[in-house]
Amino acid sequence: MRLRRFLREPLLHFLVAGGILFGIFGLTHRAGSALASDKTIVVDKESLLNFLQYRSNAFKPEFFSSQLEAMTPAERKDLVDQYVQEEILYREAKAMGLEQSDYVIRQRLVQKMRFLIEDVAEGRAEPSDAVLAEYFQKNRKRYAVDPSVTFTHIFFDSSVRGDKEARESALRLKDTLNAGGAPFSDAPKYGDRFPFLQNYVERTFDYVASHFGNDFVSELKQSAPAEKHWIGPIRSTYGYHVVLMTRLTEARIPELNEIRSQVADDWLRDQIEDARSRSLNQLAGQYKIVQKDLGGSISQ
Amino acid sequence: MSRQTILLRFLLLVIVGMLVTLRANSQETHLYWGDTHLHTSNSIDAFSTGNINADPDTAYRFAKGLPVLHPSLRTRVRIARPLDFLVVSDHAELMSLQTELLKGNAQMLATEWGKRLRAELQADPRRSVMNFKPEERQEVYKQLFTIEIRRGTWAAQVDAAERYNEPGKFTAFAGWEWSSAPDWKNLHRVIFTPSDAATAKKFIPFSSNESQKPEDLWHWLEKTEKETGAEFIAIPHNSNLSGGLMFDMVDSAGRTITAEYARMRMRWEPVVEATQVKGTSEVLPELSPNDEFADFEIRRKLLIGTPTPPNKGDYVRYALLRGLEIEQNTGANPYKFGMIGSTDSHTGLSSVEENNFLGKLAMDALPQERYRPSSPVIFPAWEMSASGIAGVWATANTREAIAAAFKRKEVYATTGPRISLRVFGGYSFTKIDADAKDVSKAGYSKGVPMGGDLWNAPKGKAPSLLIYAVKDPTSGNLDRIQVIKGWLDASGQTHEHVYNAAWAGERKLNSEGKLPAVGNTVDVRTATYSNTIGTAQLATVWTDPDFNPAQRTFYYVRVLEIPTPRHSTYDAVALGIDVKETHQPATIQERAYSSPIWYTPRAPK
Repeated sequence: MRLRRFLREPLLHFLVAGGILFGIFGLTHRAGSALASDKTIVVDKESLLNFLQYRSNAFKPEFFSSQLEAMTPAERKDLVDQYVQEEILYREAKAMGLEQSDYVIRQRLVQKMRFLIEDVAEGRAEPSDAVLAEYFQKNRKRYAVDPSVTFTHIFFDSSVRGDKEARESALRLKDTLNAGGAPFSDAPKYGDRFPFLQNYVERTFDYVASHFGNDFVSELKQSAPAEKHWIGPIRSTYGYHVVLMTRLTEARIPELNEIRSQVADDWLRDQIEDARSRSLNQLAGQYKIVQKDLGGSISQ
Repeated sequence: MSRQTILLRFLLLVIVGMLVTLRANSQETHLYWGDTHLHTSNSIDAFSTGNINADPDTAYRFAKGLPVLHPSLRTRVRIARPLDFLVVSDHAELMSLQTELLKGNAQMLATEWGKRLRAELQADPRRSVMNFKPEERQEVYKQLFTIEIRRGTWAAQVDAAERYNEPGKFTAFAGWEWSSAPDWKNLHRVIFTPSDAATAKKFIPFSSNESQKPEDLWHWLEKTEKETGAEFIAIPHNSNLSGGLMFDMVDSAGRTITAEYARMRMRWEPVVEATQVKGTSEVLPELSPNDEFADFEIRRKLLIGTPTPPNKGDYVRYALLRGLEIEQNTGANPYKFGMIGSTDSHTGLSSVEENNFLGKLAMDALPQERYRPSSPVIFPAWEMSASGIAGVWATANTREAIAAAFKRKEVYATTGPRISLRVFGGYSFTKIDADAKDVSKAGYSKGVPMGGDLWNAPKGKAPSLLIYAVKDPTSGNLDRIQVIKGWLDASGQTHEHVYNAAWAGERKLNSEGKLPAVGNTVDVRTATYSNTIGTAQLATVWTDPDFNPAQRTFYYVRVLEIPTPRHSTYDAVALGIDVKETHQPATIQERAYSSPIWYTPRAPK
């Protein structure tokens, strides 16, 4: 389960929460001036490795480590020069406060903060059977399985044959097929070309209606599925169809044990969401929000 | 033949056809080529990146084969081979903002922001209208994205499509792009309508300003179809830049995908754009290490250029696999889609040829700019792909027939070359069917075409694919045909396997089923190649050697060309620099991807 990380220790929560506060302190008490006055740039293996990986957009430490090892002195000097140049420009830009009015940077910081909060929120235990059963009861509707249908069909085109002829041809063929016990996979052999699909497998009714029209679906719904018995002709927007409908599943809600892991994932997701909004509310509690006249409604 | 005998033959044919009702019409579908994803100067980002001139008229004229002026260079350009259909799909958000402001749109100029932006654009047309501060953005939308303004700009797009639509000759669709990208994770969809102009004008394109959630888009499509009678096809693209969101196991609220979600998605999104200028989204080498051709035009950066780690939610193959899994759990498959390619070019010019690539943006028209851009760029021109195009098997070149082909997924993707590809699935194909003059005859009468479903294999039978591929006459020869199979086993695990199904020359499969490489004739110093390796056509009937009738399965076909020079290599020769300086592969194997065929057992396990 990809959501279940190992962050379950209360101590760890404490540490990460502390880290967030420290981070906020760092943001509010800008370290820019300290950076600018510090005119030393340390180039070590770690900084070069990071530089290489970010530049290549690939994060494989072993691979880049060996790349670094294999570099000629000239190549390495090039790399160091490039790194130093980037670092100087970065520090100068920060010293000038260029990141302040940059919306991309602002969004990136917001995103990082969200990740931090989510990480704290993710440390939750597995639900007990009773908790899961209660959660499932409360959210049963979400897990409803739509009714669906599986069928193949042979099409007789009214616009080519005329309505009467199309219907009669379909009737005749249906009798022939039923007499001979024609299987599902025989359908492509007969009839006219239909604009859409030959076989419809585990399709919902509104999908079928978007290809055949609503009347066709109403009639299909009233028929019983049978693996050997061709039915029809059923009328669609385009003509008549001889149909072999092999499956018709009713709408149903599965038992908890059929979809247990899915429900457990959703339960966990809800827990995380709750914890996240609690954390955000807590942070929001420390701020005073002043709303000036916003003029008109904001949302459309 | 006299007119009388022709008439007699025709009558005889009709009578025979009526008597036996056997499906006999052979060449039932024709291959049409098109682009469903093209931006003009009416997209705000296209305008800001140098396309201030190529409007929808230019786009349709270029696609139809007429000479036009290049949007930034103003030199004459002409498509080498015209397209059969085109969707102009400008971003819905602030559509036509700069073009209308500069034309003096009265509704826009009646606003404070309208006046201000017009003055700024007159001073500098490239002034970006995308990086407003949040509070500014809100005002701009309030003043310049009103219902009245949107009605006008949309009607102009619809009218342009109407002017160039010529049933039987060239199909022009009106469409737009819904540009949702929460946290720069791309969820964009192109939506087009095959409905007539009067119907299309009854609605206003749904934008990401209304909602960033795909579920809301689908609800809007459903509601709008009911209210106006308009039909729609929505096509997601750049799943590779979605940070795992495009083909996720959860919905926008983070909850596991339900049958209702699957129902909505499949109703509106029959097809995915799997390859385009910002990379190819079929498969990722890190996640499919056994696929030796997976490392092809991969882009590992989000829309703002930040790195994005490998994620199964980003690539088509894993989506198809996840679809089987979700169908097993919920009874509905949200990822039962076909594949197409399109350009996403922002130049108004649909361009996919490596040797004549016009670039993603109007501002990267000059090789020198591609080599050393004069200003920082998020989409470096050489990192872009000269890709892709949509192949459509349709009964006619009309809006109705092409839209029907999209709905039944009888469409496929290529990375540019016009490789002709037929794929049919069935249980009774024989080797002779692959040798027939017209393989579609057996294909349609004994099976289903690409995009279709097979159900419950007859006892002792395994699905076969009847495959016929023909090279693009102006491009490289064919190397091989591959079948990619994905399946869900009894324990709920998904698997994938790549089979070599047919190939050029006297090569032999090794014990692992791998084939020696076809070779490479490219001379990178001159950007030339020769068709002395590979072959013009490949045809086969491939039968699944490892078929388990109880397992949910899909198959799709990948056709590879021999290596040819990449567009950046032509630039390197022109600039007189070492091809290594492009930091791109010197040669690529262009390819076609068919839409899949699905197999569903009678009682899935």
